[in-house]
Amino acid sequence: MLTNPAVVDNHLVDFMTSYRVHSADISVLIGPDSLDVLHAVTTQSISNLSDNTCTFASILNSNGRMIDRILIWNLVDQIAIIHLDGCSESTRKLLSKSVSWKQEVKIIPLDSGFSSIWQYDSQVTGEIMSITVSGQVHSCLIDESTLVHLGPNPDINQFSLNLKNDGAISLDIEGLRLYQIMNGIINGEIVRNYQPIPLEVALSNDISFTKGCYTGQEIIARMDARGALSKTLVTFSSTRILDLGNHRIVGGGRVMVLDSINNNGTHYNLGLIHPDIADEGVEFELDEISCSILTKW
Amino acid sequence: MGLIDGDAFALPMAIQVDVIEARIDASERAIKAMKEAMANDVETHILLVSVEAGGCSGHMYDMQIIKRPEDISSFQSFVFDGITVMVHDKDSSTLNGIVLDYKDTLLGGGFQIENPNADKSCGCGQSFG
Repeated sequence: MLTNPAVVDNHLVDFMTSYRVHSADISVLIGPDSLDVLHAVTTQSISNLSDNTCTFASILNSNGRMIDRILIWNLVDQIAIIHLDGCSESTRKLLSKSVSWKQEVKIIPLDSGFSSIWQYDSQVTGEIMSITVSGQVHSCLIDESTLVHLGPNPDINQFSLNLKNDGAISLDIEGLRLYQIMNGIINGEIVRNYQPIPLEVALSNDISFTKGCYTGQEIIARMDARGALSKTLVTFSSTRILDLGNHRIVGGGRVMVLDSINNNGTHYNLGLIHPDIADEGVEFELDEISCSILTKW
Repeated sequence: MGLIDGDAFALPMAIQVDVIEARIDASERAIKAMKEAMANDVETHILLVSVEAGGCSGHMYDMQIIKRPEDISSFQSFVFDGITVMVHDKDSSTLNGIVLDYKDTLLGGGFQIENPNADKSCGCGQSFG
């Protein structure tokens, strides 16, 4: 199992630094009540987010289903948000409606002029979720190996050029999808198409179970109290590329295919399956297609 | 250091909230309860109904008896038998068509708001969306 695949000439390569530039879906909130507004609508406890730190949070609808996942940057006098690709509009609408007449918050879309770089297997060490600033570019290590940079387009372009010169690989859209499938990462297209529940897609760290009400909390609290999920996220291989959506498993059960990609003759998929059959190495059949679970997330 | 400089305040907002001429109604029971609650402050105070973010369904109502604001240019006023109810322009589209009611019960009693714009409400009844 590759721990950090990148795509070079359509072949998987392990342990290569790779990156992807995203040039939309950034918002900035300005005003003294920005954190309070975010706190009221997100799954995470935001009101006490320390200066110069980041946190992930999900935005849910009232059925507990995701409409966005955001990376929130507390830049002291401003709050920056990186949305999932294509999910910013619904979140901005929700935030705009959530600002009461007593609150001072301005929500500004930065869909042009600013970009982010997501740098995978960065080999950089540092404090996770702590923001550093270099020139106009803000950077944050969001886990042991993923570094996110945020800034004006000219600086981000220069940054990506430097990465390329240092030997990093610029992921195309297929390379990014492969990376996401192999690492159990939910992208904007999956959220827009399937609106998964965060607990089902291994995003329980996005959720504060002590903060109280937020949109969709009733559903999440009930699922958590019951302690049993009906679906869980897995990466699995298959002998053919799979159509997205629900498939019947031979012998009983279903798998919901969220993404499927062909990489040099091997097919990798991200899907939701019942936890009882979600263990690594479990094999199952989908109407003459053999599948094998690689990772349970 | 922020992402954008001070000129950002001049940048366009994500979404402008609709302001409409709202219509609000109140039941006889609600008017009676408002009169009792405001007692001798009817001339100097108003009942402010507003919407705040929160709750399982996204929004929660807020009702406060406050001193009549000096600047009422951003508020819409409704008078029920001498009692003034106000809503802020920003809440006008969400609160348009609401009916204020009052239930005199020990459990779940007090002022109630029937809102035709609410698609859903949470189990505890405190939140709507």
